[in-house]
This record gives sequence, C-alpha cells and structure tokens, in this order.
Amino acid sequence: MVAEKMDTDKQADGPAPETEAKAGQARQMSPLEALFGLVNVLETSVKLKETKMGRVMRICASTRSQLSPETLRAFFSTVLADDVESKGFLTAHAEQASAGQVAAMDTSEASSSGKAESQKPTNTPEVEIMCFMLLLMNLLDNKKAQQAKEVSIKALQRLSTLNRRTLDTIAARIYFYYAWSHEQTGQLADVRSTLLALHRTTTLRHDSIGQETLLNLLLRNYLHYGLYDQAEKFRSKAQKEDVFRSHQQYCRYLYYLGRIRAIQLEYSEARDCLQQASRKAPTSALGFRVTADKWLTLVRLLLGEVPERAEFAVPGLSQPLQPYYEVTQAVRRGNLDAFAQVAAKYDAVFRADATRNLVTRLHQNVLRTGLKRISMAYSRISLADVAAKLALPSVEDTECIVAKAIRDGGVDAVLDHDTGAMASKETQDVYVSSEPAEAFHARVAFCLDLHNEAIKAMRYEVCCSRMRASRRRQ
Amino acid sequence: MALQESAALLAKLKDAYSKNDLKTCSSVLDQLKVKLIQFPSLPPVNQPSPTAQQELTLTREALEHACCVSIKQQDEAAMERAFVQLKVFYEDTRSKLPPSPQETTLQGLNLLRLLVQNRVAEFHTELELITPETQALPEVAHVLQMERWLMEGAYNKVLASSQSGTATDLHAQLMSQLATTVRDEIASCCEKAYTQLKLADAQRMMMFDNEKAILAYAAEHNWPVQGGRIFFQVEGKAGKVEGPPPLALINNALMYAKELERIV
Amino acid sequence: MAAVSSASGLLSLLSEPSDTLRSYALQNLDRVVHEFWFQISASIASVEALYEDEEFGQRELAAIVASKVFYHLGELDDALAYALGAGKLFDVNEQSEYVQTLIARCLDQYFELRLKQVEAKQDVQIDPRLVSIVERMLERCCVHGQFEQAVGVALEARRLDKLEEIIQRSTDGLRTLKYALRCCQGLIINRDFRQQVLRLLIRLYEASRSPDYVDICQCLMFLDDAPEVAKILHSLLTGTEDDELLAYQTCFDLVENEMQSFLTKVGQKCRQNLIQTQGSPAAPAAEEGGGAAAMDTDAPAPASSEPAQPQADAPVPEHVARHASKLSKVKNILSGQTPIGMHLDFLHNHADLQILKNIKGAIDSRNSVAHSATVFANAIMHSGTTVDMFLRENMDWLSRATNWAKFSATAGLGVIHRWLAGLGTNDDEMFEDVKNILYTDSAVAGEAAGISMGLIMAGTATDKATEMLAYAHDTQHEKIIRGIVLGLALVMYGREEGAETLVEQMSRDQDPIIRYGAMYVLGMAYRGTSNNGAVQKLLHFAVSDVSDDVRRAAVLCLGFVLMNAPQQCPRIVALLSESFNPHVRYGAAMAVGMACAGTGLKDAVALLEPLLLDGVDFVRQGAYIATALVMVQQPEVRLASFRKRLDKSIGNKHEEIMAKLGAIMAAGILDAGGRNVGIGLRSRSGFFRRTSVIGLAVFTQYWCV
Repeated sequence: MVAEKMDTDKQADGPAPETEAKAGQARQMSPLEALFGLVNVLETSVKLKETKMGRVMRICASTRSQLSPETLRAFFSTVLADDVESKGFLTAHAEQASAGQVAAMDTSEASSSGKAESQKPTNTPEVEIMCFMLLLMNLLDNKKAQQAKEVSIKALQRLSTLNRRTLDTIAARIYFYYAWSHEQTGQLADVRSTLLALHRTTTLRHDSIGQETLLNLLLRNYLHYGLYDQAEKFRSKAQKEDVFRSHQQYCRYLYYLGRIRAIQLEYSEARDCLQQASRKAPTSALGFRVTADKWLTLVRLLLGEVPERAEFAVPGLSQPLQPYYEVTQAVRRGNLDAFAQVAAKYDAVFRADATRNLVTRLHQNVLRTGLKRISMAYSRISLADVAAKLALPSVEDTECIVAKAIRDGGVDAVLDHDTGAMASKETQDVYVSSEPAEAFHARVAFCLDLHNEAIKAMRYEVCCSRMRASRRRQ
Repeated sequence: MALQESAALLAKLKDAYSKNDLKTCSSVLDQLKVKLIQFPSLPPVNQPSPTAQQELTLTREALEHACCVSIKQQDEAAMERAFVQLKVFYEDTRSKLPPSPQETTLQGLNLLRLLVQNRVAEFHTELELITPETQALPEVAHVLQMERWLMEGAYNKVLASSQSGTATDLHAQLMSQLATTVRDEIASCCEKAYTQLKLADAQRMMMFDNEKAILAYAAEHNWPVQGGRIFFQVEGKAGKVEGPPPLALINNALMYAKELERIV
Repeated sequence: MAAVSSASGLLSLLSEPSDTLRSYALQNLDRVVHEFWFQISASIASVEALYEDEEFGQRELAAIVASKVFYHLGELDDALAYALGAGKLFDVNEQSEYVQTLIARCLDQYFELRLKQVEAKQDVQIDPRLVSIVERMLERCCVHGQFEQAVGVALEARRLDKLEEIIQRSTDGLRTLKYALRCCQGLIINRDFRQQVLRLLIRLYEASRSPDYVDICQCLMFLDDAPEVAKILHSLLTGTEDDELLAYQTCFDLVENEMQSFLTKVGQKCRQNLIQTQGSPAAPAAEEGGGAAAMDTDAPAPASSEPAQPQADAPVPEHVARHASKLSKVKNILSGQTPIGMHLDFLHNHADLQILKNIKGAIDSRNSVAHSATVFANAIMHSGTTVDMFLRENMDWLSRATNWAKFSATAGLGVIHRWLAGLGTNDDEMFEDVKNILYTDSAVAGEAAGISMGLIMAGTATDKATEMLAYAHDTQHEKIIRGIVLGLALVMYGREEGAETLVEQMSRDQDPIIRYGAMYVLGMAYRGTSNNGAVQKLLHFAVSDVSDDVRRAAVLCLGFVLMNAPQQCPRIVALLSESFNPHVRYGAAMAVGMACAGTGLKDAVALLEPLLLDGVDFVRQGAYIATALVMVQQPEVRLASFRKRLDKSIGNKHEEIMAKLGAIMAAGILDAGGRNVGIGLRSRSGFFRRTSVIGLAVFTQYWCV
C-alpha cells in the first residue's frame, strides 16, 4: 500500500498569507515560544467555544518541523498543571524519545527559558490533548512508530473520558495518528473495531469532522487488506453528511471511492471521483495527487481514453508516474508484446501500488486500441495480417476478437469470413451526428456544477459586523 | 463424543460422494453441519482446546465437500452458501492450520462460479484478495485466462477448453452453463460483424453439432438463410445519421437557462 | 483481533433450512454485530423474517440483532421497536452506548405520545413495554437518589401520579418540591398542565411538615385562588408572632407581583374571614380593598381613569381584638399603601433640575415635539417623587403646549404623583363606562378609551375582546383602531396559547393597523417566555409583511418575547439591526432596549452603537432610548460618554427633531425616579411584573404623536 506522504497533512491546511508572515516570525521565535503562543490561542478558542480551530492547526503545522523531543519535554513540564493526569506519561515519553538524540540546546532555547517561567501551567483538557498530538507528530516524523503507537493508545483512552465539542478537531487528528502508527507497525487489522466504535460515537455526537476522518480511516483500513466488498458495504451504510465539512477529508473520500469503483468495473464513476479528488487536492499535496493520478490513468485507459503526454510532464509528477506513462504508451501503440514487457518490468511497482490487477485488465484494451488504429489506417486488411500486427496466436482468435470489438462498438468495420478480411466503414462527418452536441453538453454541465459548488462553498462571514466594529474602534 | 461422531459422519460423506450418491450426501451433510456447530473452537468463538486442530481440520473438510456436492447438484443457492462459509473459514483459520490441499482448487472453482453467473464485479473483488503467487497456480490461472478470453471475445478458446475436459468434472459442470451464454455472445457478435456467413462456418463458430441445430438457431434469431448462407442485417444502413434530436436540444437549453438564473 | 474477518459466513448460515443452524448464526451475529453491522444490514430482511416467524425459537435473539443493526444504521425508531420486542435480552442497566441511546429515544418517544394523549386528546396507544421501560428508569433514578432527574422525567411525561410518588419518596422533600416548582414555572409551556402541577404541589406543600407559605402563596396567586390565600393568611395571623411576620412578608411579596384583581379579592376574603371570626363590623376595608392600587409606570394615563387616593384608616373599634389591627395592617400592605409610603420615605430626590433647564433652554419652545419630549423627560425623572417643582415653575411655558402636548403634560403630572388606578382590576363597570366613551367615536378620546379598556382588562383575555375587535373593524379613525388593538394586546397579556385564535384572526387582516396589533398581541401574550413558535412567527412577519409599521412592531415585540433571556436578544436581532429598512432597524433597537432593560449587557450596547450613528433620524431616536433603557442604573463611568453624546445631540441645532426627541427622553430615562429607580421588569421572585411590562408596551406608542 502506498504511503501517502505525511506532508499532505501538514501542508494541506493551506497556509493563508497572514500565517506566512507568522511562520516567518516563528522562525525567529524559538519553538518553545511558538508553542506557548499556541497554548494561548488554543485557550482563547476554547473560551469562545469555537470548534474549527483553524488557526491552531496552522500554527501547529508551521512549527512542526522545528520541534525536538527536548523542546517538547520542556514544554510539557511548563505548560501542564501538575494535576493533569497524563503529564507524567507525556514527559516520560518525550524523554525516552530524546534519549536517542543529541539534545541541541542553542542560545535561543536558553533565552526562552526566561519566558518559560511566565507561562502559567494550565489544566484545560484541550491543551493536554494537543500535547498528545504534538508528541505524536514528532514521534512519527522521526519514524518512531512503535512508541507513537503506545502514545496514541493512551491518548485514545484519555479522549474516551471527555466529551467536548471543542476537542473534535484535535481528536480527529489523533485518530489519524493512531491508525497511521498502527499501519507503520503492520498491525492495522487490530484497530478496526476501535475505529468502528469511535465512528459510532462521533455519529451520535454529531461530531462531523471526527465522523469524516474515521470514515476515511476505515475505508483505508479495508482497502489495505483488499476487502473491497466490506469497504463498499460500510461506505454505503455509514451515516455521513451530504456535504463534507473538511476539504481534505472529502478529497480522500473521493479517492477511496474511486478505487472501489474501479475494482468493481464502474469505470466512468471511478474516473469522475478520481478526477475530482485530483483536482480538488491542494497543490502542495503532491504525494496524494501522484497516487490519485496513477489510478486515474489506469481507469482512463480502461475506459478507452488515452491520456495526453503533457499530463505526465507536470513537474514533480513525472518521475513517480513513469511506469504508468510507459503503460500508456504500450496501450496507445496497441502492441501486446510491448505491453507484456512493460507489465513485467514494473511488476513490483504495480504490486506495491495495488494496481497490478488493473494493469492485467488492460490486456484487452491494448488489443482494442491496436484494432482501432488498424481499422483507421486500412480500409481493408486480411485477418492474418491483423494477427501478425497484434501478435495474436491464431487467425481464428483474431476473428472472434475482432467480431467482439465490432459488436462493442470499439471498431467500425465489417468482417468478411470467406476472404478472411476486415473492411473498415466509411468514417462519417462527426458534425452531422449528435456527438458535438453531447460533448458540448457535458462540458456545460460540468461548468454549471462547478459554479454551483463554488457558490455553496462560500460561507457567510458570521462575525463580519464584529470585525467591522473592532476595526472601527481601532 | 462430538468429535468422533462428526468424524464418522465425514467418512460416510466422503464415501457417498465418491459414489456420486448425491441424496445421501446432502442428508449426511445436514446432520454433519448441526454437529459441527457444537465445536467450541470454531470462529467466532475461537476457544482453544486440545482437540482444536482436529476439529478445525474436520470442519474444513466438511465445508469443502459441501461445496463440491452443491456444484454437482447444480444448486446455486447452496453453492453460494457453501462457498461463502468456506471462504470465511479459510480466512479465519489461516493462522491456525496448515493450508489445505484443496484450497486453490476451490478458489478457482469459486471464481469460475462467479464468472459463469456473470457476476464480474464480484469476480474482480474476489481477485483482489488472491495474492499474485496464488494467481500463478494452474487452477486459478486457468480461470483468469478464461476471464480474459471472455473479455476479449476469444470465445472459441473458451468453448474449446470446456469441451476438452480440462480439470475435473466439477469444472465441466460449471462450464456447461457457460456454453449457452457464450454461444449467445458469439451469435450477437456475428450479427454485427458479418454481412453474411456460410452455414458451415457458422456452425463451426457457434459450436453446433449439426446443421439442423444451426438452422434452428438462425430461425430463432430471424436470420434469413439463402443458398447455404446466413444473411445478417447489417447496420450499415445508417447512411443518414440524424443530427441531434431536437427535443433533447431544447431540454438542454432550458436546463442551462434555469441553472444560470437560479440562486443556489 | 476480531473474531471473524467477515460476517458473510454467518449470514449465509441464516438461509440454511435447519433451525439449529440459524440460531447458531444469530448467536454469533449478536456477538459481532458492532463490527459487521453493514454486512448484516444487507440481509436484515431475513433477520426480520425470523423475528416475525412465530415458530422460531429464538425470536428475541433475532429482535435484538435487528435492533442493533438498525441502531447502527441510524434508524432509532426501528431499533427501539425491535429492542422492545427483545424483551429481557434488552438490558436497560447495561452501560453501553447502544443501550443509553435507545433509552433516550425511548423516553423521547414516550413523551411525544403522552403529549399527544394528554394535550391533543388523541387516542394513542402506548406500547406497555415502552411504559415499563420508562417506569424502570424512574425507579432507577429514585434508587440512586437522583430525584431531580426523576421529577424532570415525570413532568415531561405528564405523569402527575409519578411526580407525587417521587416527591414523597425523596429524601429531601422540600428541595425536590422547590425544584419542581421552578421547573413548572420556567419550563412547562402548557398552561393547563402547569396549573394542575401547581395544585398538586400546593397539596404536597401543605402536607409537609414546615410548609413554605411564601411559595405556596405564589402558587396560589398564579392559580388565581384568592380564598385559599386568605385562609392561609388567616391561619398565620392567628398563630405565633413569627407567623404573623411571615404573613406580612407574604403580603409584601404578593404586592410585588402586582396582580391587582387578585389582591382585591384577597382583601375581600380577609375581611370576610374577619367578620366570620370576630362577628364585628369590619373596618372600612371595602373601600380600601376596591380599586386602590399603586404602581410605577411611565405611560400617559388614560383620561378616564379614576384617581384613587389612599384612604385613611377608619378608627378601629376598641373592642375588636388585636386580630383586627393585624388584619388592617394586612389590608394596608395589600392595598399598596404601605409600600408606597416606604418608597417615598426611601427615595431621595437626586434628579438634576439643571439638566432639565438646559434642555429647555436648548430647544425651541414652539416645537411641540421637543416640548413634549421635555415634559416626558421631566415626568420620568420625577416619577414617584411628587416633586413637581419644574412643572409649577414653568406653568406658563407648559401652557403653550397644544393638544396632545397638553394631554401629555397632564399625564406627566399624573405620573409624578403616581396615579393610575384601575389597572388590571377587571372591573366591569369601569369597562362599560370606557366603552361608551369609545363609541363616541372621537379620535383622540377613542384611542385613549381603547387603551384604557385594555388596561382595565389586562391579562384576562375576556370575551369582550371580540367586541373590541369588531368595533375596530367598524371604525374609520386610524387612531381608534390603533388604540383598540393595543388594548387587545394588553387584554391578552400573559395568556400564551390562549391568544392564538385572536392572533390568527388579527394577523390575517387586510388592515395593517390590525396586523400591527396582532404583533403586539403576540408580544404580550408570550412575554418573557422565549417561546420558539412566537419568535418564529414574529420573525416571519418582520421580513415578509408589506407594511413597514407591522414589520417594526414585529421586531419590537421580539424584545418582549425574549425578555427572560436578555443575552439571546442581541444575537437574534443582530441581523435585523443591519437591515436596509429603517423601520426594522428601529424595531431592532427598541427590542434590544426592552429585553435588556436595566441589565447593561455589553452585547446589547455594542449592537446599539452603530445605530446611534445611523443616517435615519428615527432610528437614532430608537437607539438613544434603547441605550438609555439598557444603561439605566449603570455606574457613572460607563454612562459618561453616552451622556455627553446626548447633550451634544440635544444642543445641536442641526440635529433632526426626531433624534432630539429620542435624546431628550433618553436623558430622562437615565435619571429616572431621581436616579434611584431602575427599570425592573421582574419582581424579586423572578416573575414578571405585569405593570412594568404593560407600561413598556404602552410607552412604545409614544411614537403616535
């Protein structure tokens, strides 16, 4: 199973222009100070009973790379009040993590220790859970999956005792890390029942972000083990909102849905889902787009469309997509031998991507494309020649194959059995038919849908009058 | 007690099966099933016990035979039940038992069954669960090859393999159903692809035994037969392709207008 | 590790012919249902069939499996139905999420059905298993000592028998009783049921060892049960000294709540009791009892009201025992005489006459609007203080007033001396008198008559309302129609659902003035209840009616309905305060002002601030007045900037007259009652004062100059 890069998570929150500046500032601020700032923002959000926590997440994302276990340990011991039950656990793990690393204390750290005293310890549950999240982020970034797994289990235990809506966003992240750490240690199957129970709880509590995250985690879980049937059943029966609250979760959901549909031979639907997933994904989520594009290419090939070369030439995508590009070329040429070669050459890659079976299905498409090219090139050609060109074993097979192709409408020709030849029909002026109108209609419909979705996505600024008032006061 | 009784019943079952005595088979099976569920070591209870291994092996054999019996009986519902139970059983006991010698054969049979019943989506979903190594094994590879031929349209190969008596008679049983479907497919292909066909060729392609059969078939499908040739209605008469149907165009235009003016 | 990787094997067992196999399948499905519910849901039909099958031995097992699957699918009603069918297998004591959710749903369903049974009088069959679960829950609550929860459940289920049982079983009966009373007043919407509960509570109170007479009398007051109260007072007065004091205290509390007709009746009953016990001619209680009441209002008095003067006590015959003197004390209290006297003693007049002089100097005296405004301001400032120096000094200035201004000047005088009798006395005679005036069909008098009829019958929802409405349809004078509809609103004060028919009728009327009145009826009927239905209706009219007046009234009356939750009002009204329609903005300002009166809420002030700078003059007027209402009695620090602004506005020659009116009145309100008085909509016990609310309502009509 391809690991989607964790960067998708951190960058997918889409830093707004203002936080670019903040991030710039953060680089001058020591990480510890940044974390203290984070605590303040979090506490204000909790007081205002905001559930979205957008700013908190952005700050987390921007400080993530600078965190070290040593910093975290100092942070935990300062910020958490003594009566917070997980404090000991967290500090112990941070120490354990930093034990293997050389603690680099630079001068900025020393100067910020003065700041540390001015930070009051707090026992807000949100801060505690956020500490869990920061620790998990750090452990996973440093590839300490086993430890991350233990921490995440404890985090879940702690979460099960709390029921606060302000915790929802952070809790959703923790579920993600919980599943991810198990996946890294190869024990994904264990978490399935926990995830299901959590999904039930979040649905009952109307915690939409948690619900969406868990839905995707469960789908990922099932697909990892190839349980497409269960995945589809779960997806169809699980309660979910009509409109996903979180953009990132929606992209992931589309990707998983596309995969399920592809396996079930519903190629058009699969193509739509995968295309949307790829388009809607944030530009910085490179790993995700690569994976989605791989599946998208194969689905398009299976549908009979051949993707353009230019699509593979996008910087950043071209290298990982190279095997798929070669497959596309083989299909376009319609040569079975070439196709078999490519399939064998990249067999390991396809296996890792779980796309091997799809590639095998392409065999038929190779033939089809080849036949199409032949029928367009020749007005009349003997079946023996066709067999030679397509590297098919016998003329009889060829005849049957061509007959089926004609029936399916892939090839416009007529067979003459007696002479053993295939005669192509006259191509007609496409503008006479209704094809242009239909193509046009498809495009128009797409644009209108896009327009509607864009309008729906615009949210009315709830506190715009408050902002105006505050601006006036300033 | 239960174990020994079950073992006895299983022996009886095997015996009846080898004699092709289907009725006895089913009655014994029914009794056996009732006995089997009393084993505590079966999933989902999964209680460990000293006789666990034997129990599990016994159950597995029984289920495998159930599958075979149902194929012989050509009972689709029974086939469904049997295979589903067996599949789940394999999955659950993979860690506990050494792999069964029959496993690949039965997997192959399962896939074939799905193919024959034209449940292609489920076929592929099942395929995802089978590792590439297993796919290379002859029993499974053969079925995969068949699927490919069906997709491509190499029906002749399909029919050839069915009549050559490959694999076991179980395969043959399933394939007999396939033959009719395939024949229909070939017929519709011929209809579209050929303008006319000599009777002899048609007979060969559709795997009929004699001329009478092919004539009867042609009559069913309303193909005129003249001078030893069958004439198909070619759709090449579509000289005039009509433009887009006006009603559809009007509908589309109205829809655009509505969407543009609508406040979402 | 999950026990099975997929439930499909078990599911296929369900279609086996043998019963043993199927039971086996069901048992195992039950074990794994929480992990594979989505798979089972595909074959839910077969599980249901097993449940329906009479001969199947494990029907309950099938039911519980089906119930769990439906729970996961989110179909709680189906899940509940099957859970009930599962009988003993559905264990209510289990702590799982499944059981908890289903029990919550069970309770909700039971409440719905009971409501339909009791209130809609529909013949609904309630599943006895449902009832048994609810009763089991109640039992558990009592066993765990959670009596308050049990009370809540019993009240929602409209089960008075259970309520009684719980209160009797509870360890701290008095606390539970108090809680029940609070719930009753605050949470129960349906009036009938509320009264039933009140009666029950009174019975229980009296049965308890040390009854809380104050609470009991409150209950009785709401039930309008004067004889009971008199009886209690009587028994208290004949008791110990403590009891006597308690009796007096109870009387004070009763007066606070200002239900005039009730107090009159109590007074009468007391007198009767005295006669009965003492057999002596009573003190001139009759005259005192009738019609003497005192209140604090800043509305112009109806011209035809009878002035009531506190009468001196007639000399008490010597041979009447102490009892009579006690009784007369009670009389005094009930008549409001004593409270007034105390108020007068207490109040020290801080009103700053200088402000008034400044105002007078700043405005052009010929401008009648400003003139009236000043008079109002004076009236409010000095209300209740009997200081009418300003008026006396400026008599000639006053006499320049014309017409309405004259009326308001006189009314101002009345306000200063705390006049206004007849409010809510429900006196038929008075009503007839006033009605005759109404029929004379002169505009101004007619309007006044309409309002006064409302005042007299306030809160009674009498049938005379239909007469009034009929007349409103007949007459041509807008003023009279307006007066009548306002009167109707006052009649319907506090009636809640009782006003529904009238509201329907009026709101569908062609005449915008009558619809305007309908808004006020809604506001008055549901005052202080925050009833969702009322709020919805008002909002609907606020945005969809064609007439500006009606929209303004609708928004304004939102303030009345939301009086008990002042923090909600700014939020609900926020969007309306930014409307492009100035009438709606004005209404929003006034709504906030009234709902948050005297609270000084920051949200309210923040909402009103931009309106103070609004482009339209009468919006500014509304904003001034509303801010003053909100900020009354706030510390001087916060008021300073606002006062400065008011002064600036009053002194500004270019300021439009409407805005100035607002500013002047706001100044008056801020200094109300010699700066000692606040706007108190609620009495100490938390119930709404009828007079204050009605007063505010009529105050908003100052617009009709």
